[in-house]
Order: sequence, then C-alpha cells, then structure tokens
Amino acid sequence: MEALAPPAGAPDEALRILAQEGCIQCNKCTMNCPVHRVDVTFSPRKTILQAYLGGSDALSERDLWACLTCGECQAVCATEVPFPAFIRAKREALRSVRERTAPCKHGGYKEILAKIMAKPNLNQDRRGWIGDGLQVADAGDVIYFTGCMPYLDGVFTYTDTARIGKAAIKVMNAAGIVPMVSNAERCCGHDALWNGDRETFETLARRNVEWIRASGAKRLVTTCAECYSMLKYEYPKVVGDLNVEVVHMTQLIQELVAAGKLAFTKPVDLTVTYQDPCRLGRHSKEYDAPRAVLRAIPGVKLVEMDRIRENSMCCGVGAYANCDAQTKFLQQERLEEAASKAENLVTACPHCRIHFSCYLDGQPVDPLPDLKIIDVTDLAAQALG
Amino acid sequence: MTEEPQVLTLCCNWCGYNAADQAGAAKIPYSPGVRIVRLMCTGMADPYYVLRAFERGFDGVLVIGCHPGQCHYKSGNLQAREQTDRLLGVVQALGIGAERLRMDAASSSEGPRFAEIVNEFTETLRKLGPSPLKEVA
Repeated sequence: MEALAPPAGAPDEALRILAQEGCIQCNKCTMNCPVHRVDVTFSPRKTILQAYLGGSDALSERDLWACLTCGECQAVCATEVPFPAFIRAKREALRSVRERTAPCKHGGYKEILAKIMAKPNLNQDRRGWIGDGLQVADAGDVIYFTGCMPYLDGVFTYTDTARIGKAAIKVMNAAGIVPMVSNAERCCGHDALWNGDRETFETLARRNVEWIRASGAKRLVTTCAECYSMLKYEYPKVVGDLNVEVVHMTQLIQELVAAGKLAFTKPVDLTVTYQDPCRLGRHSKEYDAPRAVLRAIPGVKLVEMDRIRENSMCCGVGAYANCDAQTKFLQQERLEEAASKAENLVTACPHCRIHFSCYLDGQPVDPLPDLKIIDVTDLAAQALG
Repeated sequence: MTEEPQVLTLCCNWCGYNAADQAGAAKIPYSPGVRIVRLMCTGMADPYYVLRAFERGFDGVLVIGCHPGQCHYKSGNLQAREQTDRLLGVVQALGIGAERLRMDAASSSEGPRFAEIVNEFTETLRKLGPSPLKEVA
C-alpha cells in the first residue's frame, strides 16, 4: 500500500509533524497502544488517517488527553510516525484557545507549581529535605538537578520521594563528588510542555539555563527521567547549548563503577525486575545504563519481564494528564507481570515510582502479591553499606 | 504607596461564609483587602486554588471552615487541615513563606471572631510586606 501523506503545504503544525513520515496504515501502533487495550475506541491509526483525510480537528478532546505519550506506537512503527509529538502539538493548539486545558490530576498541583516557578522573583529553599551527613555545595563541577522532588516530598504521602535524592547525594559523596544543589533551580517544565503549555516551558527553560551557564559546572546529573529528556533534548531546541553535559544518575554510576571510583561492597540480596521509564527509554534511548548498574550491585538478581526496552509498558500516567479507570487497569496488568518475575520492581524515574506506589497504596483492582517499588539510585545507595 | 494586603479567603458555605455574612450584617469593620470565595466545604480547597492565589499576586491565603467535629460533611474540615498543613512546607520551600497561609475556624454565629481572624492575619501580612510573587507595576 502506498504511504498516505497529508495535503501539501498544510498550515497546521500538528499535521506538519505527521507529514514528516508517511503512515502506511499497518495498524501496528494501535495493536501496541496500551490505551487501546482498555479502550478500543482509542486508535492512533484511526487518528492519523482522520488527520490526513479531514484535517486533525477530527481528533476528539477525550482522545487528545487519553494518549499517554509513552511512544510505544512510534517505537513499533515501520516509518516512525511521531504520534506523541503530534499529540503534543495538538495540545499546544488547544492551549491557544483555552487557558486551562489539561485535566491535570492532583487538583492541578504540578501545573500551578510550574507556573509559580516561572516567576522571576523567587527565593526558594530547595534543600529542606537533605538530611545530616550528606554533603552538597553552592558551586562545583557537578550540578545535581533535583527536579520537583522537594515539592513532592510530604505531599505524596504514600512514597518517600526525598529518598531518591538522598540516595543520589550519598552515592555521589561516596565517589568523592560534592554536588551543587542550587536554590535557583526551577521546574524542568516537562509537564507544561507535554500538556501543551509551551509558554511556561520556555520561560522555565530560560530561567534554568541562566543559572546553569553562570555556575560554570561541567556536568549536570538528574535522577529523574523526565528532567533528563527535557534538559538533554528539549532545552537545546529552545535556548541553544547548555554548556554542560547532561547525564542521568544511572549513566554516572555506570561510569564511576567502570572507572573504579565507586565500589559496591555490601550485597543486596533481592530479586528485581526493571521497568523502562518511557522518558529514559523510548524518548532518550537509554536502556543499558540502568541494567548495568543493577548488574554491578552484588546480590541483585535481575529477571527481565516479557515486555522490556522499546516494548516496555508505560506506568499508566504521562505528565499527570491521565489517571482514570484505564490507567488502573494498565497498572494492574504491568504490576502483575512484574510480580510474576520478582518481588521488587526497580525503575529509574521518580514518577513511575509514584504512580505504581499510588496504585499499590489504594485498592488494587485484583489482589496483587507483595511487590516493592524501588528506584535504581536507592538500590545503589543501599549497596554502599 | 500604602496598599492593604490582598487576602484570598476561602470560606465554607456552612460556617466560614455565614460568619463573614454576620460580620457584615453587624457592621464589624475588617480589612478591605479581603476577597471571599465561597466553597461548599473547605475540604474542596484544592492546592491549586491556594497556589493559584499566590501566583496571581495575593499576599496571603486564609482558609476558614467549621470547628473540628462540626463539619457539615463530617470530616471535610479535617481534610482541609491536613491539606493545608502539607501545603505549608511547599509554600515555605517556594520562598513565599509559611506565614502567608493560614487555616482557622469560625462557626456560623461567630461574626466577630471572623473579623478578628481576618484583621489579625492582615496585620501579620502588613508586617511581612508584599508577597515576593507580586508583580511590581
């Protein structure tokens, strides 16, 4: 079948993104879409066809927010049609019509935090969660970009978010690195961008880049897959070169272990399985570093799930835009898969951890065996003794 | 310029708002910078409402509900208390200052108490000065 292409010279930005690749209507996207499994009316293939034939306005608002933007459709697509980017452009177009569009969960908490952090005169205190015995500095070669962690800690009561940050600083300290944690840091803008609020995202990007460039640091470490994908791939599109090398914590640990600067001495006897976060995996193509860290820790036995790497299943929530009955079924499905392989599910994104912990904290659809959700950085810190 | 501190007051329909109404009917003076938004219950005072007020440049946010144990919906005010306590840390970390967010209770017959809470809070805000998020014209 000949590849479909939208009308030439289409003014619609969303259509222009779709037009970069031609869809051959093979339906692989829909067959792999997690949302389609629980809601058959949601179909990326159908949406693309409608967009090509009748303009992308045919996309219903419900479908617009049902998409998890996890990128499974694009990963299996023969011509790599950028469906998540198309959805993002459509959300941006909707924002120009209405001020508040995203059905943000948690009563819009993350959305409004990003907006406040986009303000110029802020005097934040971002270090409240750092406990005794951990060393951080006001300046240095390595920046630790904490993300929204200080604001999630204490609000999401079912999971101790600061644990990841403390673990990251502990690991860095053990390798002789005293990271810089800046009070000037702002939200990375991930949720704003993926929920169509480009204006807030760009403001945040500019404010962040200002202090990052001024710090003179060489590297920037994040423990969050979302911050990583933003700083590494989206910021340069808006503000140009950041003058720092952006690395994810797992990449840093892998490097430190290989260079002999970090040694895991205490065995952690756990059977674990690994959840690829969509922002680190499919969006940033980093599948190996977290696994290398898990293999480097003595005692840890890594058992892979059936759907991993490019085919990994989403945790069910993207940018806090979707959390409903569908999400709960997806989470049940994924956690059952994880529980059939190991007692511990390790992930490299604080948000996967929050969403899965939330599900386990509430009333699961069906009873689940005991399963712990751990961050890979946390596990590494435990192995330090 | 000496401007009255702008206060967003989130009042529940059953106690806080009636108290405000009574204060008005009894002609008890209170700060003119107070803006009242009536909610059915303080339990629905989303973090979004509170933080949005600060984002819009309000100097302080006051949540006024029923006394503990007297909520029209049994436990809404206790939820609001829990929520507000959690938000205090967030407001402090954002650099706005925990003193700018307060929760208190006034029953439907406590008009003078309402005026007292509001005036005391406004006084605190006056000492603190304008919110750091306030756009300077």
